[in-house]
Amino acid sequence: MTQDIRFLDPKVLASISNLELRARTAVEGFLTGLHKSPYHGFSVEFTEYRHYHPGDDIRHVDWKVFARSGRYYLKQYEDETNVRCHIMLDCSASMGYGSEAMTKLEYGRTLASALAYFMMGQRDAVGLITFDDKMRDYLPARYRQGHLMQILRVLANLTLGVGTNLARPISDLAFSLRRKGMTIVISDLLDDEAAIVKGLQALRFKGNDVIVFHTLDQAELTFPFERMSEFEDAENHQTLVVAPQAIRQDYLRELERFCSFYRQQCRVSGIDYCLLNTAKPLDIALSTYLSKRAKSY
Amino acid sequence: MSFLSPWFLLGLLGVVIPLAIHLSRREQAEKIVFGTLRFLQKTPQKVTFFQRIQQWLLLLIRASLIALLALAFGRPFLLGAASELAGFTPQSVVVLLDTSMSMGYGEVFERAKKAALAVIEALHPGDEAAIVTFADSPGQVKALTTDVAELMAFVRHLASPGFQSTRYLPALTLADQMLHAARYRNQTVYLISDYQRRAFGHHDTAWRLRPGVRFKAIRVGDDHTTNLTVTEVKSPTQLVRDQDEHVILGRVRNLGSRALSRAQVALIIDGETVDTKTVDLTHRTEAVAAFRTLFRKQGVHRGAVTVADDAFPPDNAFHFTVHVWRPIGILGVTGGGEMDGSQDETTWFASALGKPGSSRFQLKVVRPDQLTAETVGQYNVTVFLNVGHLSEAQLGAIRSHVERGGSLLLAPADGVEAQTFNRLFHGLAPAVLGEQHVDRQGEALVIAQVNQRHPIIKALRINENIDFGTARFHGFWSTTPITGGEVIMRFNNGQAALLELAVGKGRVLLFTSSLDTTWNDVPLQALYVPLMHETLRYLALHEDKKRAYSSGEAVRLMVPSGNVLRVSGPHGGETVMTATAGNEVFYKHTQAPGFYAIRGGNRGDFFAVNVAAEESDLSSIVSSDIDDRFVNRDSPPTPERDDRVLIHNTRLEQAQQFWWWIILFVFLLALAETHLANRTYR
Repeated sequence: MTQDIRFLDPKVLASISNLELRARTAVEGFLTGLHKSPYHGFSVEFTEYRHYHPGDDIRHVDWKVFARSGRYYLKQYEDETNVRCHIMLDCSASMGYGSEAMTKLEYGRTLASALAYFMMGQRDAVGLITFDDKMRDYLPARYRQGHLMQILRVLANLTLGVGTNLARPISDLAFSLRRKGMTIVISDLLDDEAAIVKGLQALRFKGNDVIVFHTLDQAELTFPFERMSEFEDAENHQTLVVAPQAIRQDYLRELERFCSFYRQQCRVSGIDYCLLNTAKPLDIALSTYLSKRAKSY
Repeated sequence: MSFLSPWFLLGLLGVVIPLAIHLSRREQAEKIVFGTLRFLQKTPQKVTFFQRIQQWLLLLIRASLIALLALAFGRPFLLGAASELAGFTPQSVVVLLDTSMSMGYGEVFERAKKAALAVIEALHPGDEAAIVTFADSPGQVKALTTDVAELMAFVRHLASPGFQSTRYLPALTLADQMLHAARYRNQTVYLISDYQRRAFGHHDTAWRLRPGVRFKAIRVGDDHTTNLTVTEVKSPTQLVRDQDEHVILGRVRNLGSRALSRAQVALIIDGETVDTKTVDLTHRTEAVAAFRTLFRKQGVHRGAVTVADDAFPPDNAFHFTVHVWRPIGILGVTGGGEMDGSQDETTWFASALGKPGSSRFQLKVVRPDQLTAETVGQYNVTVFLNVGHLSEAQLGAIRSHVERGGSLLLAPADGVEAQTFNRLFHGLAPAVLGEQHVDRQGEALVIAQVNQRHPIIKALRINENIDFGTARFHGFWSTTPITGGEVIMRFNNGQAALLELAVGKGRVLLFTSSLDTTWNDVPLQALYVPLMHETLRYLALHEDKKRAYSSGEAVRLMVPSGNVLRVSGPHGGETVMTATAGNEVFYKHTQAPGFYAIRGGNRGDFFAVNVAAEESDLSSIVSSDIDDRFVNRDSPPTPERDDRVLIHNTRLEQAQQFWWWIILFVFLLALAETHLANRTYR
């Protein structure tokens, strides 16, 4: 299992340039690492019979009907209702920060592709929305041949944007969705907290299941700097010279307050909140998704 | 303010170094692109503010460090301190302050302290002074110092005068020695005293201060005084079974300058006033008051003759003691001759002890067959005079008595056989008898060697001035001392004449010749009576008593072996004494007049102490005579220029000493900088 888990390590994944391969490596590594899969496949529902034509799989021939009628009929099945899932990936400038092997965007991109790969494997309809201060790419949720490749292509070509405005894409998505589904938000949530929470609540109140992967870098979570440094904001390029050790405690207190706000608001609104550290493997995110999928569908 | 090394002030330019470092560090701050500054900007403003303050404070400290170091190496000094030195010559001063008993008259001692303070206050900065209190010898000494406050505190805390007499020479000699080692050559001795005329009677007229040392007499005594003193008392010191009336004579003298009439003189015995007399005394006259009294009780009586005189109380009483003894019990055991014979040892021995009834000894003579344990236990000393036979029971009783603290005097003569004596007194006698040597025709032996440290010999030497060489000996026993036996006297042939042995708590003396005229002519010599008295007194542990002691005089006390004496003075305070050698100790803390109580050694006793008579005479000499007695006029005072240079240099150094404080401050700043820098940049 240890050997398989290493394929979830961001450092290993970062060395794989092909996004599809990276997504498959992550998902298969994750599935192989599971002690016991919570899924046993999903059942299908019988709808009608049709005549056998040469070339059809004889496993679906209904031999009881053949015995009664002497004719070959095949059983026709209809899939269960698939999950329609939208993955919203933040590609604002702040997501470009990374002190480890992966930037937040890279981590989010890998996570999004892995989720898409995983969902497509489960025959769920997957959509993708990328955004910074506005919506940049929108792929509606579908399940068909080639759609995964389309998603991976968009993710592969993704570049950093400018400022973040998460509230607006969420509101747009909530407005445009006509069927209930699942929405996964991958973002550092560095925007107006109240507006973001309001958008997430709107999405949730329309009956969607919402998972928020709050993605932050290891350095952002621990603020490990020692020397007097000039810090530049990745989005607005403001600078500030500080002695890190003098303000570390206050920084961490503010960050904790920030994360606690989202954690509490999400819990109140029935939204799954998961704080991700880009230095940690992806299994936490995938487990969170599977857990939600199992409970809701 | 000025600087000794102003070139070091160029170091002040170094202040720009920390400034440059601060600026350069600011420019070289690492640039980090961070996800967001929102949490950094939200940190409390005071953190950023204090951080900025700390940085500026650090810069200030570092700049101050360099500036202060430059100042310190510049050696700053105060110009004003040096300029104060112009116009006077520094001096070394020794103040001698009389604390003898006479200084306690009226307000004299308070005036003396004020005079000493005035001398100290008149000193210039840089002058050094010492203070020495004295009476018959130097007392408290405050060494030469320039600390005026310390000197003044020393004077203010001086205790009242004691009871000693006045001696100027020891104090002046000490002052002269102190000034010999003084810093300056401008030297002065201030002698603050009442300048009693009697004190100059002891003065060595040839002694003078060293040349160049100035002398300034400060006389603080009163010109007119009122003082009566009891200079002497005649009283019996020791009485035995006394029933007679005794006359106590008290000599009262007017040693003040004023006449006194109707002065009350009283005799006080054991705290009760026995009688009072009235005397009229003009200047320098005296009167004798006679009192009659009885001393009926055994023991020690405390008496005092007092005179009423409010101005100077210490000499208003003369204390004395009268000891009424129970006679020392002597049991004489005679072995030869008749008890009422005219020439045997019993007769001579009894004669030496004095007449019954008036003697300090109570003698009972028995034959050996009359000796019982009960009889032995009733007497202090048992004397065996030529005894050659005793029973075992008698010997056991004697041995037991000695071990419990009794004493024996053995005097074997021609009636004794050596073998029998050695058997009887084995373990008791200090020596084993050898042969009997009797040669009336040959050359007589004499006492040629005595142990001067033995209490018997010391008492004989001190009180009687005895010549041991006058007695002639024709017969004696040759002896061999046993272990522990100590020879007190020897003949000129080397044989022992008197030996001692300690047995248990008691002691045994062996006289190796007869105590009558059979073998020697000792009973015919002046030596005989005092030798017998001192020997028996030593054996019975009875001491010689004095009527009274003078203040400061050592008192000889007898301490029985293994005992402790506790002596308490008239004003309380107890001294515990044990004998380190022999059985005598000397008590020396007899400054205060009055009665001293002795406890311990199975007894209670007192002795009296009186102040020195000469201190009562308050008349003083005229001031003009004083200088002539002490000042050496052989050479003029030495030049003082070197002194000025010396003190000038000293004051200059003092004026710039505060650069050490700058260095200390720099050190503290460096500590603060280290602490702050660690907080800011770690």
